[in-house]
Amino acid sequence: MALIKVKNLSKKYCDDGNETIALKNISFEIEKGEFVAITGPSGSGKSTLLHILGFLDKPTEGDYFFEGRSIYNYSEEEMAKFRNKKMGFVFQQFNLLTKTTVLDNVKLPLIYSDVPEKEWNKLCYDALAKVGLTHRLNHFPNQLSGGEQQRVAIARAIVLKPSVIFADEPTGNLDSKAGQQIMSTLQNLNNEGHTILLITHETYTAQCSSRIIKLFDGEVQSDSLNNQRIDATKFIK
Amino acid sequence: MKIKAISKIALIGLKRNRSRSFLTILGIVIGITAIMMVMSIGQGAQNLILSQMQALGPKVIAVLPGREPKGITGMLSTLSDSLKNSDVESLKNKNNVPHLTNIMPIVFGNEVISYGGETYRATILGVSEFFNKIYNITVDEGETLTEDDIKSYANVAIIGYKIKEKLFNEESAINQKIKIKNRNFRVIGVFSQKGQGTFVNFDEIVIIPYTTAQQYLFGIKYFNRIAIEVDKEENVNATVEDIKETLRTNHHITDPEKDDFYIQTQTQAMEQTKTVTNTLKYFLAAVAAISLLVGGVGIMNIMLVSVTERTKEIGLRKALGATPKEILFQFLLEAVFLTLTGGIIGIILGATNSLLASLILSKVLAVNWQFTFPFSAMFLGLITSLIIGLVFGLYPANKAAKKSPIESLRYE
Repeated sequence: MALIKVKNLSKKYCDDGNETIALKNISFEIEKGEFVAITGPSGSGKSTLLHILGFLDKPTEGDYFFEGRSIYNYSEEEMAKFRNKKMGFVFQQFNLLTKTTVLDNVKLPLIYSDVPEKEWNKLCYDALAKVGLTHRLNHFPNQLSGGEQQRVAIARAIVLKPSVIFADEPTGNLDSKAGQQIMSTLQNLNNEGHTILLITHETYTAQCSSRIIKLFDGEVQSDSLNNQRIDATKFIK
Repeated sequence: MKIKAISKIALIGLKRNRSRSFLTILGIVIGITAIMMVMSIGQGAQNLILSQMQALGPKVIAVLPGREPKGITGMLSTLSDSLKNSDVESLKNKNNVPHLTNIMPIVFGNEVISYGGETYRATILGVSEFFNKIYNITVDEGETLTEDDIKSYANVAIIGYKIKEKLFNEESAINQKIKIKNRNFRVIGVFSQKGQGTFVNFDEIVIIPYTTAQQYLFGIKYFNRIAIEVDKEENVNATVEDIKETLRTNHHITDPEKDDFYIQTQTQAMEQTKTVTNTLKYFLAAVAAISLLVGGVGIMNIMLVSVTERTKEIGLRKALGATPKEILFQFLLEAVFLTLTGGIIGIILGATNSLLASLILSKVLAVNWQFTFPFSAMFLGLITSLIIGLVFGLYPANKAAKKSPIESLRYE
């Protein structure tokens, strides 16, 4: 069973009577352990697709099965619980709480989980170890570089060991070196078995994935395995 | 739901804007302080008044001439001359009023008294030998009135504590002659300090036999008041009826509406006073409560600002798995923390202010003003601030809970 299955998915917006079609008849499946990049120019519907896949929005037509269960079978409350348990989010703007320490930022998803409080610190420490930031536990985000901030965000995304990590332009706000670091972190996580779905319009970032889905005007233009996968970890060294 | 963790988030949210949080709760602080003070000082005043009324004793009934005063014009009727010596004689009769133990006619008026070069305007009370017993007052030095003094129209006087100080200073007053309305009276006693009573200040009175007062000072044949003591407290109500019947017979009154006298008991007077002071107290507290309403609106205003400011944070929390309920709870808690903190500060301020006020009032008014901690107002204050937090926090918190995560994350 595919982790993510999208079938004839469409999304329309109605603004002041003008109908805008954001997504048209999209179908694909993503298996556990894949590293998929969704690319396309701006306005191609990447973000809308990610929002639907991330349970932040619902499609207007078609169906979306997450772990075999249709999105229409989830209540708003259940969607929140599933986002918490099964999905990790990494945003372009990092979206860290500025007046909160690194440790407390990583803790954020745990507050809304069923994990007992006594396990929180260990989980956070493990997550931060994976992104190499255990020496920054009590720093505040504004004391960190952009790349470090994004790695904190990644730690926050993986702290509950989700089924899938959604990354929305994770390197968009970073210089190329920091961007490479982020991609190497994501590749490492993928090697450890995390499923990753990332959105990008940068060719380099897309080339780091193992499968690329190209969107154009809300439709899937191409969906192919990436044979020239870049190993970002090598560049770093 | 992790109540502890979410409470912590709410607290951190408030700490982030320390000065704003403080200014926000000021309205609640002032409101609760005012209510606490009104309740505490009001209770103190009520206790003071009631304790003075109690000095009369629960077994004493007062008969007054005229109609019971109802409003300003009714007051004039106290000048009525309906209570005569014959009434006292009839009331003394065991067949008419079986539970009566003592009866004392009273006449009074204000006169200038003098000793040597000193003069003083005092209340002159013409009473009988039962005065000390009925009003529960003792003499500091000398003796009290006797039955003989009354019968013989004696020119003797017992003076209040303050009058003794004014006229005699350190000298002994006993056996000195004071002048009241050009008539010499021999001082036979000085009362111990007692203070304000139900209708006179005991420290500023001069007691003489009522017979002398009627005949030589005021030139009247009636009484201003008759005090009756009953054997047991439970017989007070029955005795009131006996007195009414006796006096109606004496005055040839058939219609109770046309009574030319009225009766006061301590219980009745205390009940009336309690009603009046309670009404006043609660009215003032209600006025103070209006500021709580204003404070609540202030809380709502700031919470709305806070929700807008933190739109992005709300979006993030929702994306990371916070349910609408958990977001609602977080912001509701913030509002309740604000108002409860305000309430607690208000209770502390209100209690200390009332304590200070009671100390100052005791000094300035020279009365025994007791500080009472208004526990009822404290609980009321706590519950009210809790409710204000819930009521005025609900709208902003609900707004936060309903925000769409996508739009909130995009908010700049």
